Amino acid sequence: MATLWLTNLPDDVTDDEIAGWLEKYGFPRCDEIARVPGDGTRPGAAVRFDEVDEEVLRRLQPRIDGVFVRNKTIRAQVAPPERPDPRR
Amino acid sequence: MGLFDRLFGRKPAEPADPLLGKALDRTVEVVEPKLVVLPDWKRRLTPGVAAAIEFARAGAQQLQQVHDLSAAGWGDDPLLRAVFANAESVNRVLAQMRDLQRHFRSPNAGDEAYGLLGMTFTTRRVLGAALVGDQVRSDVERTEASFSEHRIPAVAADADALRQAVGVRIFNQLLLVATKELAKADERRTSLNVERAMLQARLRMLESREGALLDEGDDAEDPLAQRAELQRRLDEMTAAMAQYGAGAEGLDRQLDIVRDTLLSATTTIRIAPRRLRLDAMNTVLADADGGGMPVEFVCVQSPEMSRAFAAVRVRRADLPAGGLSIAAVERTL
Repeated sequence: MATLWLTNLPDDVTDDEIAGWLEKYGFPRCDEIARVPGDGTRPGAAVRFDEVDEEVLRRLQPRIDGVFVRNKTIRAQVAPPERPDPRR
Repeated sequence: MGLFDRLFGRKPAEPADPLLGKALDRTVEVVEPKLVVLPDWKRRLTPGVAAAIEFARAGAQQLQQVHDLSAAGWGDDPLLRAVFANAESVNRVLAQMRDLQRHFRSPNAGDEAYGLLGMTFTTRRVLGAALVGDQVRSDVERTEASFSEHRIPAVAADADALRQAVGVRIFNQLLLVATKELAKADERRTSLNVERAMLQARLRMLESREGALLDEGDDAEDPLAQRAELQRRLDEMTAAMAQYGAGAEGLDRQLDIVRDTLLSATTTIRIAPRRLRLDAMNTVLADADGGGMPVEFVCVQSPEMSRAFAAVRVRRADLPAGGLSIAAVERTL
């Protein structure tokens, strides 16, 4: 499982649009999109891929990073793997 | 479903099938779009892509038996009883499947949908009680099957469309395997580059200090031998890097990696029907033992995972409201 962070998305973008952009650039179908509105200036989304490894996502990430859509330059980063909670 | 999906129907893909071109285009789109600059990339990739299509088609056609997935039918279907702990867990899984709910929300959706139910499949050996001869023994080794992480990753209006969607999905997974091989090659090339730079730096240092080391006359290792050893390792490193090529030659190598990975998919990934006889506790029984019920599913095994799949039919009426559990709200109140 791996997660792609997308930031600086257009305000009114839908989940289907995000999934469509990613598939257009050769990404596999994503399994979940969690929206991160923040303060509203640079809305983001965490896109989860259940059957994709981090190394594969790192290879695909440059394809979407810097793409210009509706007056916005999308930024993409591969999220670091989750660390186990030391308190558990 | 587009033209591309027809490749995964009942008929095997012909080598001259014009739809093969679409599969080739999708392959480079996913694995490495730059491959199209190579002059004969289509001809060179065709054997791998054709093998991948045939593999995906054969895998999808194994989903012939369709199970009715509903909480009400949980007790009647041996497979559902084996893979779900109880009827409530069927409802819980159905409520979480957003693709299924999206399908039913679409205006053209009928009253039933077909889906691919996938689960992580594991077996483990445990000690349990069993009747051996006339005695009940508590230390008999048994195998238990376990199904977890239920998902419905593909949904379609009918069984044929589902098999086509599954074929496309298998094909896309194979492309991801090829992409992963390219990522590994990238990583290896980067690490070889770093190692080579370090060896070159050490060699330069040795050359500049060679005279000084010779003057010391202590028991330090012979600088000439050290230098020869470094040069030997450097040559090895350069030869290893040549395997990955650079520039256009690098793309050539990448194309070979993609083709070879797709050709070898049948040896690394296994899609086959699996039949188990399970009792109510999911203990695996031998056919000769009698008892229990036979359960059949399609098992996909790769070096990284083992998952069980079955085709299911879901009626709109059996789909619980997603995202709102009345019982959970009542408990909270």
